[in-house]
Amino acid sequence: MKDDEKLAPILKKYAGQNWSLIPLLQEVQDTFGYVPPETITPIARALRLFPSQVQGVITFYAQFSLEPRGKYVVRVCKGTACHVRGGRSILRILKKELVLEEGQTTEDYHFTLETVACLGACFLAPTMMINKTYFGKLSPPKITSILKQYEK
Amino acid sequence: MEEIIFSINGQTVKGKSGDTIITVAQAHGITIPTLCHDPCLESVGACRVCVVEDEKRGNLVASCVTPIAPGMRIQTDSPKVLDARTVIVKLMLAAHPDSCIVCEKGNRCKLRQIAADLGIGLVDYYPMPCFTGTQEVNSFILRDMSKCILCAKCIRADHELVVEGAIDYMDRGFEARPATLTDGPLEGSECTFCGTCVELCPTGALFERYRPIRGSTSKRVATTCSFCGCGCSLWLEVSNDHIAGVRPGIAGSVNGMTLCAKGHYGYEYIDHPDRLQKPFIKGDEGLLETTWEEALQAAAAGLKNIQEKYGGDRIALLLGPHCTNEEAFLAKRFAEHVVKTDHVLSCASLYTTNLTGAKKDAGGFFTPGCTIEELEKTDALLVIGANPTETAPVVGYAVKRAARAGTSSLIVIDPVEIKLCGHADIWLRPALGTDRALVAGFLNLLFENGQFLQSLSGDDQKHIDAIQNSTPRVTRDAIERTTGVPFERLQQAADLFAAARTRAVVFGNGIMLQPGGGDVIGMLRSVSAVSGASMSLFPLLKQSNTLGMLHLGLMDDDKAVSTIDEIDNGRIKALWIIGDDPAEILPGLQAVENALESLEFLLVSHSFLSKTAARADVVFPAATFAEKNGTVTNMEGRLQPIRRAVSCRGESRPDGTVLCQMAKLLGAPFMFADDRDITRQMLESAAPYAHIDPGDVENGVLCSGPLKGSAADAVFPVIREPVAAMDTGDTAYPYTLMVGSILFQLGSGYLTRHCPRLCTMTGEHCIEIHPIDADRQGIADGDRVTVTSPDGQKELAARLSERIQPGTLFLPLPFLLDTSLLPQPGKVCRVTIERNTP
Repeated sequence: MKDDEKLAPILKKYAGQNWSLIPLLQEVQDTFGYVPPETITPIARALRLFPSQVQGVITFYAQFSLEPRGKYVVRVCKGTACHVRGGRSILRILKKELVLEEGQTTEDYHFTLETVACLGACFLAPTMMINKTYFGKLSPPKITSILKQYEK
Repeated sequence: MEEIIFSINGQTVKGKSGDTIITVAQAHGITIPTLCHDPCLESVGACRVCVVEDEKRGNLVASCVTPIAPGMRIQTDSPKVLDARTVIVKLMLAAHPDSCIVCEKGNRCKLRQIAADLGIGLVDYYPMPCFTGTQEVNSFILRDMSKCILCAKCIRADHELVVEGAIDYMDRGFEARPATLTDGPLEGSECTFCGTCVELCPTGALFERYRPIRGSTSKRVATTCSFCGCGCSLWLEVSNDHIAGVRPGIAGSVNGMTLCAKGHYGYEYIDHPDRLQKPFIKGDEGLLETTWEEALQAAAAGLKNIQEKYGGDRIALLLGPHCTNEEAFLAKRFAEHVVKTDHVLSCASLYTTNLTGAKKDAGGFFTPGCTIEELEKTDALLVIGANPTETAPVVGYAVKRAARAGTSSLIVIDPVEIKLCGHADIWLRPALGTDRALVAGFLNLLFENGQFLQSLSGDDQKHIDAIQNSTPRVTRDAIERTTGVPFERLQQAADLFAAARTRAVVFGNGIMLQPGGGDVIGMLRSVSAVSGASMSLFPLLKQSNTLGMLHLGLMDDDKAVSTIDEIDNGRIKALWIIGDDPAEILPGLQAVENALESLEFLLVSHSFLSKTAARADVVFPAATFAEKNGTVTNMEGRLQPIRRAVSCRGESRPDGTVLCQMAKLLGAPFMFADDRDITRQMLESAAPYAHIDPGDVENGVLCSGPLKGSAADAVFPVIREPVAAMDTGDTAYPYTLMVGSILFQLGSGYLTRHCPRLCTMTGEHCIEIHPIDADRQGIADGDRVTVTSPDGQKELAARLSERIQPGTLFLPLPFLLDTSLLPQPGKVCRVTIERNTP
């Protein structure tokens, strides 16, 4: 299906309701994996907003990305509890394993590595998420086995 | 509204519920420093400099966003407040470059003022300036984001005042900044360079490029803009007898804090090196510089000679639409009393023929039914054949604001997808030249709508019946076939319009110049007449003093036609053209050439050596609006002053002065005590101004007059062929060419063409062609093409555009001189288009 055809039903669903920008963007991101920059103007038109406003919201929220992201988004917690329990080395190992820096995506668009301030699961520290799944009480061997599950 | 009493600094103050602390404080003369608050913008509480102490609750609040409450005890300068405010300002300065000495904002920087007031010198915080280079290449606005304090005034000005949406915040935290879509330069965005953001920016983050001085000037003069019919009030900043800048923001003005690129940055023509500095007399080898004495003598002798040889009625006066009311009045008096001729008219009449035509049967239709401010508050707006965002930006802002806020329904009728279409609830796109059928159909539907009929003034039943009976019946099929507009869309538009409590119709040159446009105006006028106060008509007049020319009787349609005929057939032997350039601006160039050729004596008053001036016998150098006093009438019918800000360049003189001198030389001197006396007599001479005292004009005053035709003449004009579209059967010229306006130029461009910065935005002349047509003609984007009409030929670059319909071509005109393709003043003609062989 062409991109325009995928976008049209989403726009139709929210047309004219300018309060619905965030749910609309979430749906676009779910559909495309990111918010393609060329969708900004049609989205703005459908909601009667300015394209610059739509861009402002997209760039404000960490959950939205204007660049394609990996199939699996790995989010490593940098919160206080995780930090105390060795979160830093978890991140270091992930960087080494995935050969990525923070915010980067693998060339095959399989993994994206991100950090977050807190995942809200401090009792499981150190923690990370892959897409919507939580992983707690991490250790180096555990990471290797988790990543194995997500490899192609 | 509930009154709330509380105290500020121990003083008891009163406000209304919903007011914020800062507005009440300001109303009571208590100053609270702020960087992000402005009365013309929604408050956002971004800068926190306006913190005040709420003594009862013991905390600090931002006074610009905190609503007042009964019994509040507010301290604006307590030690706690000053400590907090100092820290806030110091933090801003720590992130600010130390470049105050060379900053363009100079003494106008509010951050610097507030820091000085707080006694902040060296900031002892760790400096964290973020240096980002300025990146613009446009000629108007430069951005230096390192000086941005994120007050969002520019963003709010862009969204709330001029409604372009070119910029908004991007990213967050330390990265946050106002940015265009894709963070590119302004010239690649929707920005129209109106400069409103520059005016509101409290720091040096936004500033005018090529401004000759830093900071503010010691002298500034309040006057009225000389470009379009909006009549914006502005300050001319004067430094060493030169205009150093233009600023908006005069209280009670039509434009408030806004202006457009022309008004804001189009002042360069005043000091342009091509300005005529001396009078000229035609010699054997062309025009020769001379003294005023000799030039006046020669001009007087020239006119006298014609007067004696043929009689005074063989002399005509033509005035440009930028002349003041006083000059129009003096020219008329000069014609009537000195040379004794009826032939005195403004060239503007040629461009509003349908409007002046409608005047004949509508006693004094010529003041619009509402002001721009009222237009913005109207529930339903119909914009037809008008492109206010380009031709009258301040009206454009008002319409967009109303539509964006959702307070007005906006219906746009235009064959081209103009900017307003993006803001419209309904955009009807009739085939070219079918507005008459569409409007007739629209009005039919209105008169079938119960809601609409109920809203009409009941005591006019007789007239309502008459209208209903005379409304040309346009069938559903005929509408769809002729206009191409789906009937359902028209029905929706009519329902939307009928449901509104107050309605207004804005129409422009698309109607005023279109064949059959007079019928459209007639129909609208009739409906407006029986609608009482519930429907207003708003003709969009492009040039600054068109309405003044109308009011002073220089645009009488019959007279205009006869004068033009008389010039054409060679009966007029002498012509005095003041502030206009028919050889350049009038279509049918050959006819104009011939007419000018047949004159025995041509006298031209102009600021530049125009095409017409170049062939004159005597040329008077004319002062511009910044060098003379007088009044002009904007398209609302508001009389406003223009005031001298600088001395006349070279030996140029105001046209009014020259008219008086000529009258004296011709032995019939005018008896005026002073300038004020001229204004007084001018006001007395025109019925719509009769009630106005010369003193009232100082602050702008609306003229009176029947705002619409009386209900008695509310009968639809007979439309002989109600659904006739433009003849498209002519296969020799298969395309219809439309001309339109662009924002950065005005009229003949004799002012704007001498503003280098405005010219940078004009670019190359491109003709827009629909991709389907381009494909058929084998034309690619950017190809050179030749456009041929029965009256002329023009070579241009082609641009593919989907904002027009197949079968039409669109030429956004930088100058009217390109009307060489048109047979007469108008908007459309039939043409062919061919790709040039490289």
